[in-house]
Amino acid sequence: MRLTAEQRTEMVKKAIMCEQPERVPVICKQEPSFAIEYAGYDLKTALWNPDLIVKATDKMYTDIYCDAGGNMPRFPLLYKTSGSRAFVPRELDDFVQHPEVEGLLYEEYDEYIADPFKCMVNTIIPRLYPKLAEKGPVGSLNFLRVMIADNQLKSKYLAGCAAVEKKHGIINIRRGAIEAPFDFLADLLRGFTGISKDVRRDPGRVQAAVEATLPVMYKLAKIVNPTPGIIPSLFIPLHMPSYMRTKDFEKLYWPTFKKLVDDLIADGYTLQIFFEKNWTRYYDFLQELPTGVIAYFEEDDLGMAKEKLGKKLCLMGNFPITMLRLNSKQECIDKAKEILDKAAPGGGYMFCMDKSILSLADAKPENLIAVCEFVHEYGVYK
Amino acid sequence: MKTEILHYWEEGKPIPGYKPEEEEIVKDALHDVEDALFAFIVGLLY
Repeated sequence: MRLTAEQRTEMVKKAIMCEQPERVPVICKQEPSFAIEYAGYDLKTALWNPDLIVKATDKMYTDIYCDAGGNMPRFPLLYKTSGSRAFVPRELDDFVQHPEVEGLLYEEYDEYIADPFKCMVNTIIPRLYPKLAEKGPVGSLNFLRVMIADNQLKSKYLAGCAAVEKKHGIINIRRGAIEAPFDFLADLLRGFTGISKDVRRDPGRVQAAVEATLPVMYKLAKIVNPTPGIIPSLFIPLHMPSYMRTKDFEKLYWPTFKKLVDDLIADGYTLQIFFEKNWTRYYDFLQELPTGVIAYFEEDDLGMAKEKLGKKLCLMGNFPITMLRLNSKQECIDKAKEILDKAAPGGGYMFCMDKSILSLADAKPENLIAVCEFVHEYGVYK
Repeated sequence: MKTEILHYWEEGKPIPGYKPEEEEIVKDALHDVEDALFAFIVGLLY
């Protein structure tokens, strides 16, 4: 039985707010690159043509059940035009990857702390996007090229996806993405290696830099998702905590992240937060988060998460996509049933994979189809 | 969020090139441009 967009909106809103809906919502985590391959298009050709990605998404939504989705691909045109060192289209098919980079040198911390945005423009962007920093009108024209490309590609993609979602009655539950202040500093500014050293040799500067980043992320959130509400949620993928000592997390990561979450929820937003890797040792912290958070877990057992966090947070995730690749259809269905039996009772839960499905090599389509259909049929609240 | 290089209309302090009495007419449009510029540049870094 296919549901209407109104029914889906209602049940997703209830689940996010930790209430019990009619059914367990099925959330799509297939990336556009999976849709392209599933529909039989050449990946490189489609990554340069939003219309093809939209057609592929239409095919995917026709065949694979879901209630809600929402994503934004990385278009190679932007990164080629800007000479990006931070996001690099790979030679084979222009799929965009992100190598380890150091956009901010250790000796530039004070410049960043004094005025983060000025430092981004003057120092970090020229280092990571050299074509944007070429002298004279060449650099200015490159900046314009990238802004025009960004505008054209995203407008076309979003309009196309909105039409496809309307056709299938699927709702978009995600709009805009930001980062935890510490992750923003770690990912492209200092890099994994740099930040790991800084935490030990100069935690005071790291703390000051993270605190300077907090208002940047807050402002960004209001711009990339200008309409607070239960849906669409802001997306926040969390990266570094699994690699940190708990005492460093408590001092350097948690305070600004918690403040960001609290402030945005108080403003009326909901947040889809991807807790990458395993977060069990941080549950005492997560218990402080407010309702309005969709806790999207990768490795955490949802039974334990339900017990410790399920009264306040909406849970989703944890179905291992490796099973879709390696196991039989029945084994995949059994795993989905096991997760639903633990996480669904009482509501406040949405079914979802443990991570995004990037390509056909990640998941056998017949297994994915079987699991999504099973959850839709089995996940009914009586 | 404070920065030297974005131009926002602050209390009693017009953006360079504009008069105080123009605030009601121009402020929102100018701020929208600054916001989009800010989001685009920060967006290149995550």
